[in-house]
Amino acid sequence: MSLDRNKFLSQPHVVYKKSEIKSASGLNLRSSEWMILTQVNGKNSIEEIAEVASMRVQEVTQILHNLFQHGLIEIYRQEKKEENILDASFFINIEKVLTKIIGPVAPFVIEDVLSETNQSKSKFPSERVAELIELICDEIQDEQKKIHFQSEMLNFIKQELI
Amino acid sequence: MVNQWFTEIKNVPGVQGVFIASGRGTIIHNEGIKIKENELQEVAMRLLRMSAIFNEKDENVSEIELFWKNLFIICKLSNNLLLVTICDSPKILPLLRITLNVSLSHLLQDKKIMKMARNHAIDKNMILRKGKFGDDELSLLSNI
Amino acid sequence: MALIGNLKDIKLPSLIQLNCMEHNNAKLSIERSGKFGFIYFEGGQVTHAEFDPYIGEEALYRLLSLYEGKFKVESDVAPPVRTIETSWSNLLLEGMHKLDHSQDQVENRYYRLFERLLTIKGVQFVCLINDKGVIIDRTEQEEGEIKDPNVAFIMLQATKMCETLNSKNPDYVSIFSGQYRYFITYYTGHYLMLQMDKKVKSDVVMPLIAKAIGPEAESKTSIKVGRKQGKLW
Repeated sequence: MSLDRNKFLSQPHVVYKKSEIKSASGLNLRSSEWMILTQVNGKNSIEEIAEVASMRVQEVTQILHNLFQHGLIEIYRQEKKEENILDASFFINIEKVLTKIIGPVAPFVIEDVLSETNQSKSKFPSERVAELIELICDEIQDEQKKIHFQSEMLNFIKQELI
Repeated sequence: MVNQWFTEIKNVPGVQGVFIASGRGTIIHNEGIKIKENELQEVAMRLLRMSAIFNEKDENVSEIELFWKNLFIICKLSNNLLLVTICDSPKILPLLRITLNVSLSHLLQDKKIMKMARNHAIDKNMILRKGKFGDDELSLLSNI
Repeated sequence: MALIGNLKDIKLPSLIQLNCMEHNNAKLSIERSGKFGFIYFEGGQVTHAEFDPYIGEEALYRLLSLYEGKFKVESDVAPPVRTIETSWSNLLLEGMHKLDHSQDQVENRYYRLFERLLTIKGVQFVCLINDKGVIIDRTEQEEGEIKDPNVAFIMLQATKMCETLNSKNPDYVSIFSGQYRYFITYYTGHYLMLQMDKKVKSDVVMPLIAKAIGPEAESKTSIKVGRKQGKLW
């Protein structure tokens, strides 16, 4: 697949990882390409690599494009992920699970809780997810339903926090 | 199956160990707590007495927490069973509480554990009437 | 039509200021623990106050020490007599001054502490109890019945547990009974108990309680503190 270089340039937050199929050993890479390749670890974005390498984003992007063309790196993450903000899909999960348990009032309960904590779905800090689940639980009167809801949400919470 | 839930609790950051005891203070299971059994029984008994004082006022205690600067003990009570967790610091207290609620609900369905709990049960009304009490305790109990 | 509320939510100085600045002719009735007090407003001033056995300015100063109590403001009620000539702003200044210097009076000693604690969301009732189980001071109960769940006995159990574990007394004990959450800590050698709404979470409320209590919190009763390192840490 050949990628439009403009697409690369417009995404400085894209994160790459090294290819599991192809290795760079045996290839002739320039020192700058080697240096950039060492920074590709599935965590650093183009922006971050540029900062570490003291190079311009454009230069780094060009090198990454070449490495990509050689099959040495793959795209790991394209969307800009805000640090510590709960993914929107999490709220879809909460609503789904809660609706199953308490019925169609579920979305209103979630909105009420968010409003009481002065939070919104788009910017909810992920470290407060367990607190959110507890607050929603407080609105469920039936003890068994409370436990059921916590049980269903436990794995999701752990993914965010641990 | 039961071990899964003890592991679940122990995996919460900050948890040192967890034990369960019957309504009489008999230790049913201990996971990770390096304290002698008779001392754990003493801890369980003290927690039971705290909860029993509320029974006298027809209130049902389901949770007791003790906080120190670098230590935290949380006890969940239900159906003749105490689930006591000791943490060095409650780093993620909401997560711990949810984990304990879910774990306890599963432990209460375990036949082996519930059989042991029943075999070592005591009428809640007897907790403050049976056993060894110091003069200081008896004096305060006479206020009821 | 009457305005009703509780002094927990609207402080008395604010009510006085409001009625005076609006030049209301009104009667403010206050009830706390079965005792009644009255403040009369006329033409922008406070003209009469009663708080058994006091009348006039002394009654008003006594009423200013209340941080809780049900109140009712009724419009267009004339005072039976005029017993106060001092301007309302000077009354408030003098009243606050007297309050600040009345710490030795038993009924005011814990005023500020209770006032601060009652501002914490979810706190319904506060009391101070000694290690013999005697209530030293408390806020008003909604139903009139004293609801001490034998705090002294509970804390004695905590102390004995700590003896077993070779640890210091806990900083806080929290008990959830399904109806309420009780929080117990130490204050100037006594036990301070807060009865709270069942939805209150310990980790959320503890820093608020610590802040409200301030530096007097560190004094702990009974068992020796600072024993050798405990078994748990």
